[in-house]
Amino acid sequence: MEPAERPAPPAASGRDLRLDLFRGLALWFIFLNHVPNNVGNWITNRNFGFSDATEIFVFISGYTAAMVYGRQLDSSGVLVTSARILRRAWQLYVAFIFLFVIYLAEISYVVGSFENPLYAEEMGALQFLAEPDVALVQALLLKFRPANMDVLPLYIVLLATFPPILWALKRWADATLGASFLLWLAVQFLGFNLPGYPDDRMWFFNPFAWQLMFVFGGWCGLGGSDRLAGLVHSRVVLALSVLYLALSLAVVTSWYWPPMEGFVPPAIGDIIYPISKTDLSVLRFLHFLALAVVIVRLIPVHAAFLRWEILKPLIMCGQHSLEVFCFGVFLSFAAHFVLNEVSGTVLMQLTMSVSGIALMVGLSALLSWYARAERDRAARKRAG
Amino acid sequence: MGGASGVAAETGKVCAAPSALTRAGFPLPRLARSLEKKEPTTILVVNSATTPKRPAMAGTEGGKTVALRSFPSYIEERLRARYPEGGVVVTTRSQPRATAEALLDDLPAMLAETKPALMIWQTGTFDAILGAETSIFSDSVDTGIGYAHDAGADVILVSPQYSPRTAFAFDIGAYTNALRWAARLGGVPFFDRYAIMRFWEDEGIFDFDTARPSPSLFDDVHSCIGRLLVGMIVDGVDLRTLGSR
Repeated sequence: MEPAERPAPPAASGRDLRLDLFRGLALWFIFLNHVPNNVGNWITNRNFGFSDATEIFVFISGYTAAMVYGRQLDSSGVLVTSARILRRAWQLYVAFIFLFVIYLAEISYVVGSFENPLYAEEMGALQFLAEPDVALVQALLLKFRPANMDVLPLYIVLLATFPPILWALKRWADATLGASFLLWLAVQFLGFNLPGYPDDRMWFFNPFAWQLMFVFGGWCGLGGSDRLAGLVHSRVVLALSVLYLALSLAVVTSWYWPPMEGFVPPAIGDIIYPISKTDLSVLRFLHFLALAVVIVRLIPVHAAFLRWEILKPLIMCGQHSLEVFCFGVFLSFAAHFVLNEVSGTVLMQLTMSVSGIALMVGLSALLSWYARAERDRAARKRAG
Repeated sequence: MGGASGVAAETGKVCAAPSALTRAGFPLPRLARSLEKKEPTTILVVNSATTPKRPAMAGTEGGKTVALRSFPSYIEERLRARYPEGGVVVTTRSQPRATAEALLDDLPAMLAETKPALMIWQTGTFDAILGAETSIFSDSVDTGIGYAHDAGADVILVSPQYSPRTAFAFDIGAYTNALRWAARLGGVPFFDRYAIMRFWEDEGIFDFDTARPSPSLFDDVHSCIGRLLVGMIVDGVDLRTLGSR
């Protein structure tokens, strides 16, 4: 498999384990959120603030991609590094198509087995399979993106366009980040997006907006975060961040907790709603920044507990993000299937959530073991 | 709840929901005035439903022999019982596969043609299916409420259904939230059908994800939605009459 984005063996650690930890956590949350009607997703961060696991995932992916490929850029040159990045994007594309086939199987099953006049309209929407020629081609073009797989096409596009951006980031870091910011700003005002399928739907994650998260991650990964250290450790910034997180928590709880219902005055609501996930609303971006400030303050890079055994499953998942992410999408389909076909009780929802996470950890352990075995073999070969 | 007697016997199901989900919250002054004047009162139901057909066996209602009876027809029946002198007529305008935005083109004409005192607007399902932008969706709902008010009609917004089988393909949540907010902002009642159906599923009153639904599920659900909606309408009318605004 791909050496890029693979960590050095855990023992030799110049690596910031917080990245793996939180990417692992984001992957767990994305899995939980993707199982519809699941009590398990009440613990995920989207219920406590504007941003959710997607921001964390995209930011950390940008951070690690810039860090790993940035180093390779110095040692192997632009051409080879670009080729490696594109190979990674290709792997993601293949994974997307694989998951799409599983998704089609689930839809075909639902359409074929489920007849309920109550849901004539909803089922009608799944009838695009009546013209598989169109649906399949649209999927190959990344235009048809089933709800739960939205992050993957975004990730593919971000990575496929990353070589020139990485090159620019290495040369003119601040100017590149500025350009990325301007593009995001233009989306906020002009609202352009990539077209999707069916009908005139658009990409759920607008890549022109979300690139900011990825490029900002990359900027930080190439040393920007050190330059921000002064800002991050200022008391004023910390206080503002905590305040913003608290406000955001209050607003979000007012969406689902009746006692909080009147919390947002209409005049304010009129300005801030709806908080666009598609275009990465400024409220979401700020919420992510505030969250990052607080977390960086709470968890220093060499915090001893990052090495606790109990956190190892999370870190391991974060270290194999592509495989675990795809497996998580698959598991969310499977869990949805079981909840509908077998039983949808709360106990079953919890069982599905826990066993899904256990399987994700199992996969990452297997991959770690395999990577270690391969490394040992390569080392023996070199030695012998 | 007005005009609701005998429902339990009719459907064989418990038709109930938490009061937080069935209160109007906002008055319906235009409807109340029209009912008071004892002249024909039109209620316009705008939805995106594709009316499901069922082999003749169930179709015994009036002239509609093949179409299943959906909630608008139950509303008419119950409101007539509740306001015998109000001359209530329910008219349904169905626009399958139309987003809220697309509907806006036709809405003024619909309102001019039917001159309703109340518009029950069920929207969001197709927007969710398409993944329409929530900002465009909520702006469109705002505009639509404005059109109705300008045409002298009150509005009740109705959210999409809870549909566990298709939940993996499209996510209704963002659109229900947008509707809830649009309703509060526009000062109109919000009938959160999604939350109510979710409640029924959780309480085991109905089973929405079974592969073999009971033959009466459609009728039971729609009659119960009709009943709760009438409760909300009566609540909204009474709010106005009591002058509690």
